[in-house]
Amino acid sequence: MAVAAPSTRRRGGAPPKWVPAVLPVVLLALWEVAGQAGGSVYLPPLSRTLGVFAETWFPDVVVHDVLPSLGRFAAGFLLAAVIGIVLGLAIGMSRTLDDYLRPTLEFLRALPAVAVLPVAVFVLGLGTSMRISVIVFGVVFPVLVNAAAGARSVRPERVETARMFGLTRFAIARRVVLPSALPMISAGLRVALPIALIMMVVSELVGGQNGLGFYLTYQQQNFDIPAMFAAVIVLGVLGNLLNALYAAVERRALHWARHA
Amino acid sequence: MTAVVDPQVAVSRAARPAGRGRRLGRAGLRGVVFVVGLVLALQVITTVIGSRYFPQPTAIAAALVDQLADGALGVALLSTLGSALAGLVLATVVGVVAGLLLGSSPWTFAIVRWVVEFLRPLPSVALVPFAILLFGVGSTTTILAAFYASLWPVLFNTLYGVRDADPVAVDSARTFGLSRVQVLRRVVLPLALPNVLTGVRVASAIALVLTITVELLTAAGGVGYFISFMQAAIRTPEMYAGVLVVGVLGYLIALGVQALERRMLFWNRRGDA
Repeated sequence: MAVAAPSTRRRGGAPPKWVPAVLPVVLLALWEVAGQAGGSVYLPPLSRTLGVFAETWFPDVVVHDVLPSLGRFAAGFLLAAVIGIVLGLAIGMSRTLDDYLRPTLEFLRALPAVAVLPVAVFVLGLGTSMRISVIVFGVVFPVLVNAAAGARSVRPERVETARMFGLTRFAIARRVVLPSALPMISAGLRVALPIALIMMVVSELVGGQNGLGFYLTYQQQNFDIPAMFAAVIVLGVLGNLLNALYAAVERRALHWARHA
Repeated sequence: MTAVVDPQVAVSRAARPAGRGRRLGRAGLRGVVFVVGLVLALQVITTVIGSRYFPQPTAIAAALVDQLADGALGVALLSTLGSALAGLVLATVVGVVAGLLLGSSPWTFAIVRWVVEFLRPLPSVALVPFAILLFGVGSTTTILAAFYASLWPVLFNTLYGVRDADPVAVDSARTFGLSRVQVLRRVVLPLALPNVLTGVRVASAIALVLTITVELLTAAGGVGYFISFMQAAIRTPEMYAGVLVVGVLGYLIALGVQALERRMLFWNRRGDA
C-alpha cells in the first residue's frame, strides 16, 4: 500500500533529532533574559522561579500540597474508574437498562463537571470528600460511556458461546465482556485522565486548605508570581508524567489488543 | 479497532430501517419514564422526609421559572454562552490553521514539538489565576481561558487529519498544478474535516468547562457565578436551577456540534455513525 510517501516528507528529508530541543531552550533563555531586564512584576526571571523550588518546596510544599493533591487525584480517578466500568458494562449488556438510563446519563455527561462544584461544597462542605467526589463526577462519564460502547460491540457469538457453557451473567460480564471491552475502556480512561487533573485543581481553588490548586491561588493572592509559576510548571510536568505513565501501563496491559 | 467492528455495523445498518422507528420510540419512552419517575421519587422523598441539601423538584422548577422571568438567569446564560462560543470559534480558527501548518510541514512540527507537547497536558485551569492577574476580571479572561483550553483538541485533531490525508490525492493535486496553499485548502482540509470536527466537538465541552470555572472564580457574571452566588446565599432551589440550566446548555451545545458534523460530513460514512 505504501507506494508513495507524502510529497512534503520527501522534500528536504526528515528534520534531525535535536531540532525539537531548540525552541524550548530559546524560550527559557528569553524568559530569563526578559525577566532580568525587568520592567514587569508579571515576568520574574526563570532562575527566581526555579529558586522557589530550592527554597520552599522540599519538603514543605511537597508534603503539604503535592502529596495530598496526588492522593485525592488517585482516589477520585480509581473510584470513578470502578464505578464507570461496572455501570458501563451493565448498561452495555442490557438493552432495557440502556433505554431507561440513556437520556439521564446523556444529560449528566453534558453537564460540565465544574458546575457541580458549588453543589458539592454545599452538600459535602470543604473537606476531602467534596474534592474527591468532584473528581469522580468529572471522570465517571467518559469511562462509563466508553465501557458501555465497548460492551455493546462484543461479538454476540462470544456471549452466546459462554452462555451455552453455562456461565452466569456475572461470569459472562467478567470473563467475556470485560476483556473484549478493555481497549475501549482504556480509551475512555485516557480521555478522563486530564479531566481528573483539571477537576483536582479546580476543587482546590475554592476554600482550600492544601493542594496544588490551593497553593496556586494562595500565591496569586499573595502576589508571589515566581511561586505561582513554580506551581504551573509542576502541574505541567505532572500532566506530562501522568500521560506517559498511562501510556506505559496501557502498552503493557493491552499489548494483546494492538493488532486492531 | 473500527476495522474489527465494521462488518457488523454494516449489517445492522442494512437491517435497521424497518424496526428503527419503533425501537427509537420505545427507547425514548423508557428514557422519559425513568426521568419522570426519578423526579416524582425525589418529590415524594423531599416532601415526606425533607432534606437540607436537596429541595423539592417543584421548588427548583419554581425558582427556574422565577429567575428566567426575572431575566437574571437569562442574562447570565447569554453571557456564558457568548464567552464559550467566542473562545471556541477563536480556538477553531487558530487550531485549524496551526494544525494545517504543523501537519503539512515536518520541519515546523519538529521545531515547536516539545513546546506544544508540554503545553497540551498542562491542566489549563492552572493558568487561570495568572490570567486573572494579567487581564483582570472580565470577559477577556473568560474568553482567553476558553480559547486556550479548547485550542489543543482542535489543533491536534487537525494535525492528525492532515497527516492521514491520502498522499495519492495530494500528489495528484500537485500534478494538476495546484499551489501548496491551494492543495491545503482544496484537498487536505476537506480530507481532514472529519478529524477537525471531532476536535471541535471535544473542544466545545472544554470551552464550556473553562468558561464556567473562570466565572466561578472571578465572580464576573455568567451562570457559573450565578450558581456560586446562590450557593453562598443558601438559595438552594436557585442553585439547582442554575445547574440544571448549565446541563441543558451543555447538552444543546453538544447537539449543535453534532448537527454541524452531520451537515458538513454528509458525504462521510463515519459522520453519521
